[in-house]
Amino acid sequence: MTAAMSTDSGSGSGNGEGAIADVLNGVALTSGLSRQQRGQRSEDPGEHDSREAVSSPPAEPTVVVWPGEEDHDRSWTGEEQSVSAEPIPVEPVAPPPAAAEETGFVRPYAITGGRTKANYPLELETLISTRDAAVLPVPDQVEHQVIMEECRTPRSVAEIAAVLQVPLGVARVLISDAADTGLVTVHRTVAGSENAEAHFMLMERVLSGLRRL
Amino acid sequence: MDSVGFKAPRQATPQTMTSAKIVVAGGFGAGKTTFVGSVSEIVPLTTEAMMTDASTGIDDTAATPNKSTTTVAMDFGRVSLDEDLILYLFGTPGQERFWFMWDDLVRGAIGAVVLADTRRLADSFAPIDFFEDRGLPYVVGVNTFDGVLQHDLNDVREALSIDESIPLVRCDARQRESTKQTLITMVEYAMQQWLAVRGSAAPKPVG
Repeated sequence: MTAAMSTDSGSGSGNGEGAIADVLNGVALTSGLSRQQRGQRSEDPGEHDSREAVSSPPAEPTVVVWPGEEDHDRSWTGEEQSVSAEPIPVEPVAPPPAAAEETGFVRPYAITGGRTKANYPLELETLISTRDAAVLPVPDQVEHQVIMEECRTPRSVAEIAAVLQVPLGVARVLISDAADTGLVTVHRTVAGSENAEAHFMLMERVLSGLRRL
Repeated sequence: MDSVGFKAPRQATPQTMTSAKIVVAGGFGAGKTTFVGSVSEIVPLTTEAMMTDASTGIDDTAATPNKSTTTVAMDFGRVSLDEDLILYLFGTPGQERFWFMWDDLVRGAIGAVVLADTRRLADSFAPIDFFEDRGLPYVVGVNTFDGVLQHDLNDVREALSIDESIPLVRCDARQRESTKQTLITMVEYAMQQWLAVRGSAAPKPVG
């Protein structure tokens, strides 16, 4: 629930988190390309920016480890202290916008930077609404923009997952991030076991609501 | 992205929103999606719980054989009952290997409707067992395809071997009114159960 638990859970490297997430995103965004194309991308000097320091050895096409090929070489990737459960392929950070047009999907662990935990109790039916501020900084993650757009009228966690077309676990992390950043409000969910009387009141309201339908 | 200096006012509208959840279970083809769709104000949506086809050959599935490469279709619909109250209806994923999702589904739910197809009654056993195990109140709706009830309801009850106290109703999942009645029966039963379990110390219904 607190900031201490927030974005860098599981990583231990607070400042590195964003950069590593960027690496992950960069990797995923180019994942639709053929290997040959990606090899060429790696050779492009323009794409070697300062963040590369995070992902250890300077990536030459010959040492790049691609997802799916890492099995024979886990010891190598293991040296990197990855934040993600998945091995992080080493690749220079690519400018996302151009690559995004060439691929259809981003892998879930890349969207969340490898994290799986949300900081809020987000049930399937928990409602999320966009905070009512006229001018917000545009979130740099596309998913957050979609969440903000979608939640102008309150939407449930399940709806957000459906709209984003991501697994629930991923949606939970994204929503949690958006709430941490103050983009959205997480409404309280009446959970039956925790507060039995509130649950009973809720049932009453649902019953009369159904009768009015 | 830096949001320093941004002071978010608490949202004026809508104030505090509340949501509730009812689970709709039943075998494949029992009419769950139809049931949900008949009262939902949105076309039933689908969530994914698993990784997608796109990860085939990328993610290592050898060590996790239960990890499927298909997507899960968990249909759900939405019914706005009041300005600040939204009811969600969640259809259970049909395949048994997705039962891990059922915990998410039943947590905090008001109760469940088990849709029974009398042609495949055995499909209803698993959900009924699950809800009884979890103590989630449920009613059984015998879906009358084409409006025809093929069997006597008492026979169905016997075949399902469910307690007499559990409501068993006929319903036509295509009909909004029928679905609505089934849901009302479900919530009423859940409230009875609540009172039965917690005794007379329960708060008297307000208003």
